[in-house]
Amino acid sequence: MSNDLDSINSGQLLTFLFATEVGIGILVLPRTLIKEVGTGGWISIILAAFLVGIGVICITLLNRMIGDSGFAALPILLGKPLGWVFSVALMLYLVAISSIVLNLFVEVVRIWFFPAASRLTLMLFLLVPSVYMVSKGLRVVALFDGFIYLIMALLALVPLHGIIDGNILFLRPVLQVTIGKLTSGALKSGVSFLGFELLLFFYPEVLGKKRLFLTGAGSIAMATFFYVGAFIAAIALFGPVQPAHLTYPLLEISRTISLPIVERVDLLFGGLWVTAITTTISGFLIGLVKAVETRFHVRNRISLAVISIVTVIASLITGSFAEAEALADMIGIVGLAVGVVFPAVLLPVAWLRKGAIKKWHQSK
Amino acid sequence: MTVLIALCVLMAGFATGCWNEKILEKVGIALVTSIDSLPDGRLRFASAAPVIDSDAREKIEFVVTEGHTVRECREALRRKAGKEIVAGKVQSLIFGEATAHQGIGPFMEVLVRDTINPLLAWVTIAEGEGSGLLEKGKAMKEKPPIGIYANDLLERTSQSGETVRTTVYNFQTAFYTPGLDPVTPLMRASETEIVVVGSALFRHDRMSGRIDNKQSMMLNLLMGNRIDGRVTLKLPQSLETPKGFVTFQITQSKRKIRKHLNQGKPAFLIAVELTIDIEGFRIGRLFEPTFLEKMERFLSNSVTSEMQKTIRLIQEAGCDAIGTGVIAKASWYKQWQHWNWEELYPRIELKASAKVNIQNSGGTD
Repeated sequence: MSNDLDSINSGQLLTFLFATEVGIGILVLPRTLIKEVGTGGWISIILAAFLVGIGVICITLLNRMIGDSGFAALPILLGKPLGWVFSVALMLYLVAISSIVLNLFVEVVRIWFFPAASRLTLMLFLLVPSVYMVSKGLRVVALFDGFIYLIMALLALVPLHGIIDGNILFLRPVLQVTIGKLTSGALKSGVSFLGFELLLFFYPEVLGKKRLFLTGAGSIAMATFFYVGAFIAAIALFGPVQPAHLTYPLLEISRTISLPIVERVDLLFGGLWVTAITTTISGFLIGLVKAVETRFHVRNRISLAVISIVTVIASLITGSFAEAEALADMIGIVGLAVGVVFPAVLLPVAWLRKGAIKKWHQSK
Repeated sequence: MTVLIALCVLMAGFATGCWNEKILEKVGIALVTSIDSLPDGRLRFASAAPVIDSDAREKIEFVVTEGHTVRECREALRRKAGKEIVAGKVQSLIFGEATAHQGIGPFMEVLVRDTINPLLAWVTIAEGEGSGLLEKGKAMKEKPPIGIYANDLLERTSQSGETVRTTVYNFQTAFYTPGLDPVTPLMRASETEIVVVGSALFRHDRMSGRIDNKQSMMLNLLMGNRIDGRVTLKLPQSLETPKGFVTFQITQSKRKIRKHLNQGKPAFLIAVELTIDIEGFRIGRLFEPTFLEKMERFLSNSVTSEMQKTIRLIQEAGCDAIGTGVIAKASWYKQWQHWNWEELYPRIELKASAKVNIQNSGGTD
């Protein structure tokens, strides 16, 4: 597999990041936030977007300072032993998040659509096309991700129906929560933006590096728009309390739509959503493939097969829906640490290790 | 390799649904379901499904089961029914009046949890028992099958405003939202017909009162719902016609709610502006501006009075169907936290004012 297949322009990067970010969150976020924050949950989403935006700034500056991806330079910045430890930790993080997305996908499909379907079959259903795309490189993944705009435009009709048919008064009063709750809500929302941290793994592949921050911020802005819309729609239609008791509020909204030909709008919605999930999982998998290639200089079908098998095995660890959700919450915090705290800590290190970075570039 | 992958995806795609197949010929599609609480604490669960078999003598399969929970009843239903009964097309959920008085929240919860049950099914209360209404409906040979019959009645009467449209998700939203209560259609069955007699008023999930068809219309207008029903009123002597009555059809309605605090307590004025077509009145007189003005004033006063009566009934029943509590919470949140809305609601100042504009007269001169 040639690295040329990985080069993407800033537009494709925007699509890739947006498609990776939007997935499970759009279904789960309204419930989580209403439980945690109440009707002011949309403020938490915006806070989370700013928090994640700080991460994008840090990663952009870090990559620019290094002249390569932050991940590639870890052994130079932290020394070989520590650099390897963090590299392996980041790869494990990508395995964990891929397996959690896979797991949550299976849970959604089994709860909502096919209760009797086997977990493994459903995993294969999602994983095989994703792995196939990943085998063709980042550019193919980003090009396929272009479908996300069409899908999101169609999916957006569901929250739009909720807003039009619902009562916006349910959202008031806006500020009835403490700063503490808003912050905790923002942290819980962070998991829905995960995908932006993949900027840490890609830099030489991106054409138009000057626009790196804008593309990262753009993807976050688009995701924020959809999440806020989904949250408002859930409250407008189901009131300020009920969404906390609904497993997937957005799917519930689709159940309230009556169309002349399509009787089960929720199935149509779910079908489109599966494509959104495919783009999410392929995003994390290509990140993992890139990480393995960067650190072990291996990128072939065998490495891809190993990555896929490890992901499937990891996703089989959790047995129940509650376990999968608890793990997702945990990985959300880890993801924010990876995407915001870690690059922020690395920034001064990179500044101090300017000389070593220069030498590293000369030796390449 | 590509072919192999394509095969894998296809197999996974097809196999995914194999575990969940429902073949139309092998299932019974329930269109209407009823739940009643029995005096011994058990439940009676009834279901009516059309029979898809040209040779069958009975066109409807009607099954009644009893058990301690809805799930247990459903399992019993599975053992009794000729085919596996699926609930995905249920159009109406009917609860007996006594059950509604005890509270239907727990049953609704079970029904909402299962993703197969439609959220757009009607929630309806039957005078007497729900299963009784289904049984009578099944025996009505001159009427359409009970599920379709009940659904058509509810559709028509809610469009005209003679009852309040309440689906499963509407009920749940009102039940869960502080400062808002549900209202559902109320039906009565005789040996020969089913009639939508008005609406059942709820306080939380318990039925606490009832209103008739005309009051349901007024409530719909107060709730801001779009309706196209007809109202008949007795005319005063100053506007006397040979018949002494006037019938008008509502073509448009606009609602505005004005609110203020009166001595620390919320007060609301619901102003409704109606555009109507008068039917069955002498057209010539309605062209006279003074007469037209008199008529509009009379109609405005009459509708206001009917609305005020309806408000009194819903306040007495403790049913905040209009959602004044939601408005109060949104407007005066600090005070809201100290109010016990359930106690306060029946005593709040809630007034209505209607302004009727006659658009057309469809009568003969």
